[in-house]
Amino acid sequence: MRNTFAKILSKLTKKNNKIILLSGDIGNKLFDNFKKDHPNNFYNCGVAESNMTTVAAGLAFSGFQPITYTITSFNTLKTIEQIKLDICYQDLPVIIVGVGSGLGYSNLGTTHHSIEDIGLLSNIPNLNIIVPTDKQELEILFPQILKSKKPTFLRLGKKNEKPVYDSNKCNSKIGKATQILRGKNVCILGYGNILRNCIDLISQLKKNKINPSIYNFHTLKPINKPQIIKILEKYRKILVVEEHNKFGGLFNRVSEIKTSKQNFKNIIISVNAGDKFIIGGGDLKNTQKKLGLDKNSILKKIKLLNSL
Amino acid sequence: MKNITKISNQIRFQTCKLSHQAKAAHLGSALSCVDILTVIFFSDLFKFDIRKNSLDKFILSKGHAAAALYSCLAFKKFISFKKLNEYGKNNSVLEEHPNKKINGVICSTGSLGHGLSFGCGITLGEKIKNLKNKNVVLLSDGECNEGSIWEAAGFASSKKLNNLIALIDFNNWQATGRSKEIFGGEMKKKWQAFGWNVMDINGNNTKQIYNALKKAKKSKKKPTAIICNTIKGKGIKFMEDNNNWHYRVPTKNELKVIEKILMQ
Repeated sequence: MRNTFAKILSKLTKKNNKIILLSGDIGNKLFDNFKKDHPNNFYNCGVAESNMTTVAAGLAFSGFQPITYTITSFNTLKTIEQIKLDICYQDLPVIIVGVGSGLGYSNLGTTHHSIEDIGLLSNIPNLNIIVPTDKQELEILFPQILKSKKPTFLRLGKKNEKPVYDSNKCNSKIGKATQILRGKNVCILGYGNILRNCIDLISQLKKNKINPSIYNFHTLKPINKPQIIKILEKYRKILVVEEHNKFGGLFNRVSEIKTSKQNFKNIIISVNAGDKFIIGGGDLKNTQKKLGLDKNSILKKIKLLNSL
Repeated sequence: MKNITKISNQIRFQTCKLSHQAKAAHLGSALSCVDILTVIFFSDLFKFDIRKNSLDKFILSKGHAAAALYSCLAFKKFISFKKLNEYGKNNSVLEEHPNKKINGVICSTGSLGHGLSFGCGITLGEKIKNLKNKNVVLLSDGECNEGSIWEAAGFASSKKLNNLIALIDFNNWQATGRSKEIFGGEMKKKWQAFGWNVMDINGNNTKQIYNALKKAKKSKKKPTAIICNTIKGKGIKFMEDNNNWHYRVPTKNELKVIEKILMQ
């Protein structure tokens, strides 16, 4: 996903020289072409993320469209006060890009995991939170983010993510979840590349006479409440899948909307990254397995949900 | 410069009045930087066109000195005196820390350690646009405890932000004690080590402030830090260098004494 980000950024900067990329001493090879083509649009801010975030706010004040880019954990938690006060409180159009979100850097350990970012950032007014599921969706959503001129957190994966949209053409729009599969028994809600784990289960589920719907909630904030209400009205059994802490993510949002409607009797189950520091997770596949986010675990959850 | 002294006395009194009316703290910190603010706003060094944000810019990074800033903005006619008197009252935008809904405030501050980075971003943006205007950020000495200040300091010199000027209001007191005892390292040497032009002046002497800023404006490559040695509570003898006035508010009788000292 990061390669696609670098590619589309070069393309868009050719047309829009207000784009300024600030890097936290990362992406050396990745942005070589960008730096060559747009030397005045790239600044390495060093390993000083707090300053980088506020510098971006100052640049935005001067009429630019700055993007801060580094590993998600560092670009969100180290900088959360700068995001709150300098970007969002002052409502400046900065895009905060986190790379290796969720468990993208699983084998680098807890310091590099980012499974609490959405929960923490969701509490900051004015901030949009966007999570593309694959590179095709990133290409579709990124120009929309630039056009919106809103403070935005863009939660990217790392690299070599399997496509979710495959041959289907992605036409996602900020603010509305995209239905990527039409079914009836159960409804799966998720975001990010973990949705691929769900798509891979379709044929097995069909053998079990389960035809799920799948919705891709690429826009976590502002959350589309009317759309969630419609989904809750249509499907009784809901599974929320997210590479995020069990608190503060999509499961919370869907549950609170359900609770606000007294007559809703939905069963909502969640698979998530738990609420523990993950030590010894190893690679992404192994870590997902340990947390119950792998295909088999999700399959079991869907079967259980279907039987209820 | 004679006129400047008169204005600074008026701003001092106005600031004390605001603190008394609103029962708002941080008076000592506001008074130590009144001379600096007066030179910035009322000398011929800078031109502020705050509504269009197109000329020189000022950021009060030590946002707790808001009362002194608001007083300057009123004398500068960016805000009315009627508005100024709403300071600290319910439903007023003139809160105890400045926000950019107020004419003349370009950056909301209050949490220490943000204003210099914001100034870096503005200055870098203007450098890209090839603009020559100056951007001035006022920091407190206690604020220089914040790591983000030193992130900004390293950034500014590496990007050759010569149009950026930082003034450090070095009154040698922070909330609970002497700045030099609470946080180590020599202020002047630190800024020099981070690649800045550094000047060390009497920050309550308007002539010295004026000359230092004039020199800073001429810098060709480096950003400039002016260490302004000041006295907390400056101008009112019974407040001077007395850290109780970090939080204390003047009584009605004290305000009368202050008026006598400053306005006669």
